[in-house]
Amino acid sequence: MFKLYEMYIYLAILEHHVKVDNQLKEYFKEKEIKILKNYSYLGMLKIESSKELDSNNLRYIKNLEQDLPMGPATES
Amino acid sequence: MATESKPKKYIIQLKEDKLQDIKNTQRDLGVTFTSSAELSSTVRAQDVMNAGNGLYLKNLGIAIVEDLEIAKIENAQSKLSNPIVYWEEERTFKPVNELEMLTELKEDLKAFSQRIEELEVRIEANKNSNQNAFAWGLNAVGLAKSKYTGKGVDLCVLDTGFYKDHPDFVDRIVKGKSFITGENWETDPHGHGTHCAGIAAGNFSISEKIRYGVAYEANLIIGKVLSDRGMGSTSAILDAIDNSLEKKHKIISMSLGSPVSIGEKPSPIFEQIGQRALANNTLLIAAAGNDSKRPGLPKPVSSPANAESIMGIGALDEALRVASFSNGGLNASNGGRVDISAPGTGIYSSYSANSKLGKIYRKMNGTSMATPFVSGIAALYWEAFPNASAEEIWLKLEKGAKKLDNQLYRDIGQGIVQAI
Repeated sequence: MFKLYEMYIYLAILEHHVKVDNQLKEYFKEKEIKILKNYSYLGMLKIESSKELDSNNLRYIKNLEQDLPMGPATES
Repeated sequence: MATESKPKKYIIQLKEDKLQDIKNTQRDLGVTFTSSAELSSTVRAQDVMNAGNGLYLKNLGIAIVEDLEIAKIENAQSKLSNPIVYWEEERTFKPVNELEMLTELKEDLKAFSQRIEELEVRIEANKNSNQNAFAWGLNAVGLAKSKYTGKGVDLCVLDTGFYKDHPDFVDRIVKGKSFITGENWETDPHGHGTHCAGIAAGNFSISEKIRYGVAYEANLIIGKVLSDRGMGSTSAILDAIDNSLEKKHKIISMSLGSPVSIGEKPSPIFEQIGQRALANNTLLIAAAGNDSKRPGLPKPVSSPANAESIMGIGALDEALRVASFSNGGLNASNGGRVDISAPGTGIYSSYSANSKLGKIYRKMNGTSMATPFVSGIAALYWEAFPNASAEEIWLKLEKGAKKLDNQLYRDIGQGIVQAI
């Protein structure tokens, strides 16, 4: 898992038609999840949590994925 | 009595009355122009003209400068980007008899004829260099026969940034944004982004007289998603793609990736991104990756190119065989295919003077280089079919690809991409 300053950073796909409204924000607050970025055109969020998350135990989230490293595709 | 000699004036004819032409001429001559529109009965031409300031006759497309070295004008005219088509020293007019007038006219005609010949030679030289000196990759994708340039198509390159001061791009409007905190997009100390952008949307190496870029009239947009050390993360790419979709860019070129294992499914994140992009009429094009060591079994196509809705690009060598490093479609059943291929070895393109090498041109190898060939050609297709959807452009690219003998679909997809 990609950890930054002891926090877990995830990219999350929201369930269909879910919007980032007060209801969702309140739910994330309860779960101590912080929204770092809302990719509105993609229907995704970048979120931060102090503990590991599982999409099966979370409402509104269809899929969670670690923030993978990327590099140039040039032959070394 | 000694008479003070007046500074010489030069009359300069510009190709077109375009703002960029005027700006280029000002830059190359090192003068600023006052437009004739600003003259009045109280502000006259002689009031605004001096060594550093010329006059631009708006309605004639003619500029007048004074006290300038001839070599400076000649140098400016020799630049491909400069719009000066003709210049001459200001003539003095005086009453003459008919015989003197005839003699002067003959001399003028001779000089004018010489100028025309010089201009013809220059135009012919430029035409020949544009037709013949193509980098091998451009010949392989059939660019010489294409009449398209990607004009007006928004092509976004997500990479390490771009060396904005590159001499081949001084006439271009290149926009960009950095998605890496604390680093700007327009210096590119890494160099990779400048190379990829050059292939996709560059044109002609002014110093080495080789054409290396595909869609040289596309609107080049840079998204810096990899750091100056070449490192990035999925979230920076998401930031940039979200931004591109908002701005309705047509093509997003990604010469980047992260290796995956055999049997590994594509990231649902990138699958959703690809689908959203297609729905927004944006085509995502990504490198298949360079983890293979052929002739052994190749490694599978990297992420994000392995997403079904993102076009995955393989690399070919100069003999039009799959490049030894190019990944293959080992996870094809779940989307990890090579969709199409393009030249990817010994690829000449622009580079960054801010890089460790300090060069402004370089040859590189990788599916990173193959990807912008396809992106640039996608821009040509979109210019030809402006109302086509992203999915239609994808199909046209695949349909137009040239099959290659003795090469597996697993390795090169539909074949080598071809310009329209």
